[in-house]
Amino acid sequence: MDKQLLKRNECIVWYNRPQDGVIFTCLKEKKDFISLRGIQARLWTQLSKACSIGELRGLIRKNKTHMKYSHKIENIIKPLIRKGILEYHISQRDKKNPAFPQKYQKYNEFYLNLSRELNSVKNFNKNPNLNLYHKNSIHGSHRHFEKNEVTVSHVYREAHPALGGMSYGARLFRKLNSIKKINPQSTVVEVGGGTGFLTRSFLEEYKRNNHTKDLPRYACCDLSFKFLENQRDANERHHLSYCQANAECMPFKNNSLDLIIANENIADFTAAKVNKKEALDFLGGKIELSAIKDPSVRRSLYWIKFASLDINDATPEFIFNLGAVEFISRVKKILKRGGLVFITEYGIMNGYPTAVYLRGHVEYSIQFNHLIRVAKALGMRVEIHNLAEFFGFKKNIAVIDHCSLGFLYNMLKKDKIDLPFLAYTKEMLRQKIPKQVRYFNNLKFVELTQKSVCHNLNKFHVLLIFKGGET
Amino acid sequence: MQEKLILKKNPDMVSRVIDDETILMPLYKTSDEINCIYALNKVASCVWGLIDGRRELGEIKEEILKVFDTTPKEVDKEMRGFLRDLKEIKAIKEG
Repeated sequence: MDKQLLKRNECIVWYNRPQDGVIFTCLKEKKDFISLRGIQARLWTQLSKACSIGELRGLIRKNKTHMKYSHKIENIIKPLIRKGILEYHISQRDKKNPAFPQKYQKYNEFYLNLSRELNSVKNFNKNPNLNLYHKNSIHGSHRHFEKNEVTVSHVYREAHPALGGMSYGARLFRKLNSIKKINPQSTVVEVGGGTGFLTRSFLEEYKRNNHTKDLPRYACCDLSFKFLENQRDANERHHLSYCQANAECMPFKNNSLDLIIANENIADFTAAKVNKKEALDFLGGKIELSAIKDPSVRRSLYWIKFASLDINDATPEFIFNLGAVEFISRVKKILKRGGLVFITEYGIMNGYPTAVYLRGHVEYSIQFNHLIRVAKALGMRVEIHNLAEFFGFKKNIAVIDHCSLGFLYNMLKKDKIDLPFLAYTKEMLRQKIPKQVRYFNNLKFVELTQKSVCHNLNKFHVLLIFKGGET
Repeated sequence: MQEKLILKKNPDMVSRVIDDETILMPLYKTSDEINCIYALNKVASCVWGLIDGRRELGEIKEEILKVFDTTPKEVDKEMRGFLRDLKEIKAIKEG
């Protein structure tokens, strides 16, 4: 064993706490951290490059305090190897999934997605009611978007180099204003505005752009009363309207709105589990809609038929984004002619929605092709974009990855430093915590095309829906 | 080939189109049996798409001849082999 090479796991992020020399390490795949003290911390420091146990023993012997441990070194190392922070030779990153033969790698994504679809269906009835969750279980802190569901708009809520020095909200205003002019006569509804940061930066940019303090008529619509309070607090300076309602059946007058914003929330809308055979029997005229007992299935089948959705490639049971579809049907009524809906969410263009298990609730990815077909069948024009391209994210900018940020955030919290949860670049981090950052090692920064601080931006789409008429 | 024959798809067979290629995967096998992914060529994809429990094989053949630059004899041969394979993996049955 003495000759075997030992090295740090390359995926480990660690923090060398200056006051006591305790080293905290964080595993990439396990978000909890392990603290190393005394001899373990000393060993970790020695392993700045790979070395054999024999060499390590020699190094330890040189230190009088730790000399006594030199004959026990295997016992000290074994638990660290078991925990995965030290390893022999092979880096975790190089490990391939052995269950998937090389010749089938091409179909890996299809296989994984299909497995997710099947699991989503299997666990569907176990999931808590989403409406009740949003109404009753949200405590209204911005921590919700850091702990429970990290959103793109939340981690880019401040001016960011990836957005050319603008915040997400400001950039959104610029983009939407270039498509449909927003002025004091415009009526805007923002659905599910969370903490209100997006509203604030959207309206600040509006004021800068229009050189006016006269805001458009702007209403925030949210199912959660706590979030509405947050939105009101974040926008104290602005006179906005607030409405507690379910976006799937928003209580606004017909033909009354110019712009509706649904930013990263339609995955939270109602989902339905549909039986393929029943659906095909209905579509083939073998059974009537009235014969279907479950109202959400009945409504789903109505929309599948209405938009001529092809469900032949579905699994025997599949998930349908019923709430998102009914939201589109609702906006068709309440938008003025020439009105615009902006929707962004993570999702897919093919296949069927899958469950995303978050703390306290489950949401479902969006099948954008279904939404597009429904909007078109309702007589509206649509455009679909990749979120990164729509917002003009600079993809070559590297931001901190999720594991590193989580570790950094938790470690600083132990030292009573409250680090805002943002998509930091190295430079932003150096400016934010200049003293502390040097004690953190191996923090990972990845380009936006990869899964960075919270999400892979490539999985997010922007759907623009235009109700016919003058724009 | 029996021109009047009507075929039905097995509902436990999931098909998806990925990069112009139709992939079939039976759900009755366990997930660790990865050998059960089947990739179809262009003609087979088209035939698979046309099997709907209503069309006769003769009608499917006519559709194929409209789409591909081929002869009825070649289509017969290709379809016979493909349908035999589909029956073997229980992807279709006579309806």
